[in-house]
Amino acid sequence: MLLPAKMSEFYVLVHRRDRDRVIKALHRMGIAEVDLPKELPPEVNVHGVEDEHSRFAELDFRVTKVLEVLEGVAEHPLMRMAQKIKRLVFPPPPVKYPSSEVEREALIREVEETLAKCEHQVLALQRKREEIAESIARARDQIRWLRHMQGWNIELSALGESPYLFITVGTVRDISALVGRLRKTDAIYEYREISEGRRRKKGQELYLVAVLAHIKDKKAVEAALRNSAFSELNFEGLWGTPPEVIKMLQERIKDLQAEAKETLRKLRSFRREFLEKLRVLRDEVHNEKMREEIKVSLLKTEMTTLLHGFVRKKEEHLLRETVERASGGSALVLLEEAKGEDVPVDYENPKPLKPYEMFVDMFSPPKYGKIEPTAIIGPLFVLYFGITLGDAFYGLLVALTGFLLLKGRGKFDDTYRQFGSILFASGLSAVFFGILQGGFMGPMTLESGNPMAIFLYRVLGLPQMPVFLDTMSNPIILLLIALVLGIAQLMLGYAFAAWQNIKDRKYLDLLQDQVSWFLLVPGGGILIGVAFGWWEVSPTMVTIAWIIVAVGLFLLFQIPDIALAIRRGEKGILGRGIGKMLKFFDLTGFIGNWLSYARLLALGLATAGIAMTINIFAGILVSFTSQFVCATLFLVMGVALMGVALRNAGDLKGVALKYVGAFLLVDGILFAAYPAAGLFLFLAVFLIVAHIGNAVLQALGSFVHSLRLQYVEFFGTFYEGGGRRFEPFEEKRIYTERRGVSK
Amino acid sequence: MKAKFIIGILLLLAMAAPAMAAVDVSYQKWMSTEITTQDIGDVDLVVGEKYTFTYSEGNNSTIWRIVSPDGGVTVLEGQSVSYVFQQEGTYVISVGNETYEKEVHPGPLGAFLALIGAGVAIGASGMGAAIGVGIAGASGAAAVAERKENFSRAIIFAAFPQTQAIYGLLVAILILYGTGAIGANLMLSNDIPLSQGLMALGAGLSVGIAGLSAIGQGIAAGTGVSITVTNPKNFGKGLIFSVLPETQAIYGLLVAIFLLYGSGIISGGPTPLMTMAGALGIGLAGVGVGLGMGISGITAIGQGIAASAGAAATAEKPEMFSRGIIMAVLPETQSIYALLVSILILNALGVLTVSVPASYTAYQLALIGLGAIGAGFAVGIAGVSGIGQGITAGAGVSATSRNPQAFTSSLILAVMSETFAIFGLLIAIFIMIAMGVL
Repeated sequence: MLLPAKMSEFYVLVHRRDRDRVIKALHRMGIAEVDLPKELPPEVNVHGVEDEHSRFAELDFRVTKVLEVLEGVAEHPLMRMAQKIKRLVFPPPPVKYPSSEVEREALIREVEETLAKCEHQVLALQRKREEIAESIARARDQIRWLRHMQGWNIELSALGESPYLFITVGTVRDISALVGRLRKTDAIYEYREISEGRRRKKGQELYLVAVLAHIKDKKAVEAALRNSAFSELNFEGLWGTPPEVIKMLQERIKDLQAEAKETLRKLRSFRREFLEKLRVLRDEVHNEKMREEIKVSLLKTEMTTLLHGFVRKKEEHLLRETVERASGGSALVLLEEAKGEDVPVDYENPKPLKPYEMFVDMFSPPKYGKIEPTAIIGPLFVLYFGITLGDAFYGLLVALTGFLLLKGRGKFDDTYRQFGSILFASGLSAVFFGILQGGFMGPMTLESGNPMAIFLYRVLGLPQMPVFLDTMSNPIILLLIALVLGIAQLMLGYAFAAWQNIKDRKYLDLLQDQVSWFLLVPGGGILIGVAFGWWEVSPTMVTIAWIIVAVGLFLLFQIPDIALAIRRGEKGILGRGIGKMLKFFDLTGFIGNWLSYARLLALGLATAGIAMTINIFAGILVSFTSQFVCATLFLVMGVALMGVALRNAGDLKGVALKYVGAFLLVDGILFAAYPAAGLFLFLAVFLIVAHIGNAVLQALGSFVHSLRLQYVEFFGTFYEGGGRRFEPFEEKRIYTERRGVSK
Repeated sequence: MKAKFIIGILLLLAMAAPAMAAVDVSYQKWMSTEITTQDIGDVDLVVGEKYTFTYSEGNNSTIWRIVSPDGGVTVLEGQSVSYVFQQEGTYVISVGNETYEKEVHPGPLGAFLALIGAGVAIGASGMGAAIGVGIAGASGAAAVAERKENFSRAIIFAAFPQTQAIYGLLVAILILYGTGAIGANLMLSNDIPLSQGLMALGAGLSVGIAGLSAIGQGIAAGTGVSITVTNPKNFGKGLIFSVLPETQAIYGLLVAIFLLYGSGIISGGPTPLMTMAGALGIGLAGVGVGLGMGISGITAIGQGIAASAGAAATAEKPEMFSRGIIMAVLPETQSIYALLVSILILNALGVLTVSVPASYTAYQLALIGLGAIGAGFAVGIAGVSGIGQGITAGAGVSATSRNPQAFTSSLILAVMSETFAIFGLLIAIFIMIAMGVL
């Protein structure tokens, strides 16, 4: 917590006969990051890749290629919409096959054997599929043009050159220019307009032109066509008049489609037979490839191999055991404490805080030995989210979303699990603050027409709940809370920076950059309070405050730095001094950072205000609806939407329209028969939809602004980032898992 | 016994008889042709309306005396006289032997001024949000053209500049709700003082014109879409940069809330600040503060330009993130100056704490109000210098990306535009000192 995990740097020396065993053992253990040391020890060379690598790379590539094709021909069982949605939210767990211990040579043999049985055929079938698709597309295109040519009695096989004639068919836009040119030759031509769709603007029309000329005019005609941007149509290999050819092409398309179906069937049978095996083999081959690739980061001498890298200090002994076991005891393992800024960082946070590590990663991991702020920004993010969303209903929606993510996709996907966790906690925080602020679907006042308030207080007759933090009637209190939080977080940031400077023994920076603020803030605060008349202090306190502020300013403008420079007789003091004037903007910057926390109030109010607006609108709707108007309107719209939906049946849009249409229809009927019920139904749907929409918008805003406060204001005081995450050398298994593996 | 009782009753009636010599007040309701007549005890008198007073026992030489709240005396003659009340407050009307004290209500003028405020709030912020969403949406359309799957990301970024319109809508609704305009005939409302209307106008200006910050947010969000589409890992960083220009709108909303709260529009009824003598000055100060905060919000356009450059630089070189943020945040300072000036003025007038500023007379308050408009213009319009600063900062980010040595020099160049905002702040401070507020 607050600091990255302690790392140790290791050097491992093994005899080269044990090299592969040690690599495999480390790969399986997955606790060490292996990389080249910054300075190479003398008499040692970089290992580099060996021939095996290209073998495995090639096998990996080939297997992946076949897998891609086979995975693309999966059969999709027909599922109803409800099932589809369920699968989206709660996906089935991925299937994992057990991995087996296979010797390299045996593995290579097995892969080659398996590929021999399927690679060639599968790839050939896939190529065929693509060719068929292309042919079908081409045929369809030709049919399209031929349809325009139906009135012409052209024999398609006569197109092109023959001993005495030159015939061509194509498209052109500027027909008048072409006609003008063709008139100069002896060619016969005919054209018709085939502009598709709505009438095109002048100059945009498209014409189909057929030209027939004596062969001696071919050059002239070709020139005329070229100059008019003529685009020839290709009907090679076709014979007959357009109607005949169209029929023939349609038959051909049918045949091609049948052939495509057969190809697909064959591919699917290959998939049934080989998919599982190939998946397992791919994992193994891939990992072998990784073990070859890592050799780039190893060192060697004539007889030995040297590995270097980093491991968590806590796992030092594990590293030693693994290496010694793999090398039969004859290895030299050197472990020492990692030092310096280049050491990779691994976070050490308790489980509840782990999801928030993604916030730090999104910005930039810290350097080794510097503060790792997950423990601060995680809880504060949740706090700010709660304050800014501040509505119990919206909070429940967010928490529910987080819960679904956690229990659904989050079971197998890390990112979803982190997100789900964050949303769940943030949602609960919003529920808490919603209760504090008396907000559920907006402020729970009867005057604003809050549905929950109406339900609880009027229908059930419960007594009104006390509101502890009424933002609407007294926003100043929340503003003060926000500003206090702001000052606290900023001071914490400066404290972290101070601790860092103390650790690095940068005392001058400590004084000028942090102590200055520790003086300015209390001193300035007292003086401002007195000036505004917020509190009374004795004159002695005021004088002390002035002194503190003066010292603070002295430090902030880095006068000691200038003084030291003068002492040392450095040049360019004047320039530096003027440069220090820029420090004035640090003051405005600080006030800006501090006042920025006022957004906590503004956003909280915005959520409550818009929610209240929705409730007020619902109230207005009540007074404005007239039975007749609503009934007819809804009935008409309902029927219309259902009609449109039936045309778009099947896809999501169609389903959505269907439901909306059905709702309007039902409501229209209700309006005609029982206006009160119709109105109630309409209001209920309106309120729910509008509040969910507001919840989404405000949750997004709360998320982003709570995060921004961490990144911009808080990090600005002390955090640099610029580190790199610890990436252990570990196996990557998508379809397999090792039995009895525990880390 | 019975006779005494009856005589007693008759005497009482006789005593009451002269009291039945009543004064009737008749007036014509706005926009209607009918004339309403009420007894003077029942009628609600409102500023600006013409009333005809009739004394049932009077004749052509009856003398009427009307004393206004500030002590002025008007004398009228006749059985029926007409009078237009010019001030709010307690008037003393005497005729014959009758003396009446009547409260003259402010009338709906304040409410109608507030309506202007509501209109500005949603109008200006809606314009800003629409332009901003348009800019971001254009980027989104290009992203979707590349890959259909980019739609969800594009929508999120395109939604960001919408929030300004939401803030504007919020303030407009709060104003309408607080003045009772929703669902009621505002003409009939009597209790919205002119000063409250001015405060609402100021609130509308503050959140509305600051809503133009959405244009800057649209520029930044547009770049956010492109960098996310190029590499999904940039999503978080694109998000942060897109959100930077929203600060100005939030400050605008904040000041609007202060104004609405201090004037009582959102806390239930006119606060003492609005009914005291000199409330007009407080209202004018509200307009000034709103102008200052709103206009300075335009600096977000500069911030959007800088944030856009920061996002692009970060997409290329992730280590530029912190520097990009530092540069992108520079143009925010102008709106912080405006916020500062607003808070100082509002606090001195007691708006923040809703306490009557005891040390000023009514006339002084009116003058302070005018001065506040001047201060608002000074710090507000000078604040638009943020656009220039944003352009420089944006270029500075790109320069630093190419050559890290350029950082400090770019910073200094960017800060130069800020000096003019500092001049504006300085003048505003001088104005405040001259008004006696500081």
